[in-house]
Amino acid sequence: MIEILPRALFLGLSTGIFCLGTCAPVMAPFMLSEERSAYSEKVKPFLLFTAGRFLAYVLIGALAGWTGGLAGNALTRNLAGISLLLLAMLMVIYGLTTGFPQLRFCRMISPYLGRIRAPFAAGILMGVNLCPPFLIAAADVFVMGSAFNGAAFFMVFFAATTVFLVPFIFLGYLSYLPAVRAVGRLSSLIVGAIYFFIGLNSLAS
Amino acid sequence: MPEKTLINSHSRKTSVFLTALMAFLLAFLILGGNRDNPRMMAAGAVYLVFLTVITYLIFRTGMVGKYRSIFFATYAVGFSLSFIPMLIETRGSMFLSGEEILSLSAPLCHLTLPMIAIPAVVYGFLIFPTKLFSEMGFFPMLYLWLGATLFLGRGWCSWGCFYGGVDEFFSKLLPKKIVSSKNFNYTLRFFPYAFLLVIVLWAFIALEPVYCTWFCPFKAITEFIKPTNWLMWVQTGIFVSIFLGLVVVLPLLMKRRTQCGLFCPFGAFQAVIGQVNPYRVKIDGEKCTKCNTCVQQCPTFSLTEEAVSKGKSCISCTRCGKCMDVCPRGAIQYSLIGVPLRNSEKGGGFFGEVFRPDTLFIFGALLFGGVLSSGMVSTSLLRITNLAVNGSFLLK
Ligand code: SF4
Ligand code: SF4
Repeated sequence: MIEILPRALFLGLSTGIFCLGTCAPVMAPFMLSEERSAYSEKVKPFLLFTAGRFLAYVLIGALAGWTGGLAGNALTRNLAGISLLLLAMLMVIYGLTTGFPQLRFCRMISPYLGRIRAPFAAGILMGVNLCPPFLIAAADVFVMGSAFNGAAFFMVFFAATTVFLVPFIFLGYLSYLPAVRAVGRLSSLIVGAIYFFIGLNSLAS
Repeated sequence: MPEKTLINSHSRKTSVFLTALMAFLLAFLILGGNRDNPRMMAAGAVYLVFLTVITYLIFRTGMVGKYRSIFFATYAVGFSLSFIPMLIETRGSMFLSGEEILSLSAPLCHLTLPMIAIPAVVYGFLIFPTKLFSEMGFFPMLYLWLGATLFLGRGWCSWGCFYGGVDEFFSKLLPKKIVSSKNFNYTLRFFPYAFLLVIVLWAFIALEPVYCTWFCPFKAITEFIKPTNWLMWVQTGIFVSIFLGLVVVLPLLMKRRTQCGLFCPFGAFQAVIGQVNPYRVKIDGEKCTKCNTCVQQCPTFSLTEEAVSKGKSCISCTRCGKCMDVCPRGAIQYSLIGVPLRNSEKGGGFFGEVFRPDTLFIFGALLFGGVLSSGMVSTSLLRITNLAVNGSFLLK
């Protein structure tokens, strides 16, 4: 098993820039939208998002290794479509509740959003959303025929790609500026609208 | 009735001098390039007269917003009247063809620059189908943008951008606003920055100029890909709706530049990068009575009550001069970083007036915009003449 891990590491490092591009539109609004003073608070959205992504990777890795495939193309496409739609809704609700808290809808929904920890949920949804590096990694795992090996492969892959996301921690330091927070909240709404369309398109096709 | 004396006004002597200098430089730059084309030379001469008159009126009256607006709207009309017929002459329609995309000969515009920068650096290629060195390719546009940024900062958006004049044009058509912006939610003015962030990241993921594909409203007056499937119809519907909503209808109703102030991601990019330009718009706290007339009138939503109390416009300020026209106390002025604010309309003699920050900025901006617009406006004049004489906009 040990011989597959360097390959996972190399794959993660070589495709991590894609992960950066793919996760950035979701991660950036979470890092920018809320004012946080303590360091631990600043990194919290990053850690939650990363934890969600980790959980999704391990689960999908185990599943892919076990089943020897992602259970057919139609299912993976649908999974990606549905996860994008859910992510879109999450981003829109997050953008609305942070940007326009005075709206009645936002006052109603805010407590629930706090409970599901929006960045964590976004991390899971982003993790199961099959971006190109993820699919390359999954192709490797299909041939393993073992849930454990698949999960291990994805853990290493996850660690390698996360290196590229670390700079996002520093975005948290910009959130003390009210203008930056407004930009973060509005970008959450825009990303939500775009992902909603892409999700629908992916389900329709 | 003579117009009131404004903070940017100049004595007759200084105005004549500045106008003569401008006319000389413009004549050299505009006419010099057309020596072997008498018709273009004649059209250029007409435009030169127009620019000379505008220069005099700006400096003499100090109504920068008003006369700049006439120049800027003329520029935008000239752009549309020259660009669309040019496309029809060369390719028979406004549709961008597959061959042009494959042969990398689509003209690049400045709006694409923020999107193509990161993929160009990371992957070493352009995600827009244009050539590096062709006339409307990457490098000419890059140099134009660099020059605009150094000379104008975000002033580009009120003195240089051939699109900005279109919503300025519509915002001037009705004498009074129909929709008041009293209850306007000023958070929305951050939308262009958020949009910029998203499209830059999205373009990097998708490796395609997503703003051009999906959103750019100015495709409605330039070129676009012929829709052949439902997705392309959706894209066409989106950009046409944005054009009608933000460039035509809302500017008409609100008398504000809603596209430039609330949507354009390049405007946001320019607002941030344009901080390298040393000119600013400042408010003299001693003169200002916090009447907020300027807040209500700023075309790009770049003045808020908070900004007024801080004594400066927001970074999105396009240096259009409108707030200076409308301020009843003459409290707003162009300034240069490190130079104290003036406290009187009188500029301290001829040299004092010539070297005032407002004079330097306006002169440079008008020269830049005048030269940039000359080809487009002159060609449009030729086309209008052709329409009158031969019944067609097309010259070929
Ligand atoms: S905001 Fe955009 S369209 Fe408007 S003037 Fe600036 S660059 Fe041009
Ligand atoms: S602050 Fe004044 S100069 Fe700046 S865009 Fe607004 S009206 Fe124009």
